Amino acid sequence: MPKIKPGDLAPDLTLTTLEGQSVALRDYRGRPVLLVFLRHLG
Amino acid sequence: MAQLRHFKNDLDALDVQVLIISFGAEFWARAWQQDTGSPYPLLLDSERATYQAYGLGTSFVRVWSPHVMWHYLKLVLRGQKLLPVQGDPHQLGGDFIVDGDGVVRLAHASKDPVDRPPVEKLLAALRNLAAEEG
Repeated sequence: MPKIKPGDLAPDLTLTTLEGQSVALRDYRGRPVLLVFLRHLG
Repeated sequence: MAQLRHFKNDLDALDVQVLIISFGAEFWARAWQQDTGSPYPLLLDSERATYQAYGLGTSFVRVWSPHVMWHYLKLVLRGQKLLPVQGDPHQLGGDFIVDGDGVVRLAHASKDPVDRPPVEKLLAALRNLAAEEG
């Protein structure tokens, strides 16, 4: 499994919101993005 | 999540897009969103491919360590409501700041379930980033 570190190009992601909208990280080029990966929904 | 919500104005002022990623089932994701009042998009990654791409693995030993159990016991003793765990309880999370060019500027892969960076640390990194780009 890769270890992501500062300076790396962020792996792109394309996922779907609860509203069914497709969202890709590249959609936000030009803006900072904070990605928060939840451990679980509890 | 409560902390991120609390600092929403600061994050907005820095033009930060917050994306929350979960591998939970849609039903529980909706319940979580309602329960937390999260103002940010919740993206579903049921296959956890994105977790893997960002190097976020699973660990039985780290999740059930005495340190983690003590943390949750303290929360219960303070009267905090703990929601039942949905999905794989051994999956670890993480936080990443990506700049406008798609480069990772802060990477925090949680070592255990309670190992998350303080929001103040995330905000400081985002303010530094804004100062660099400003």
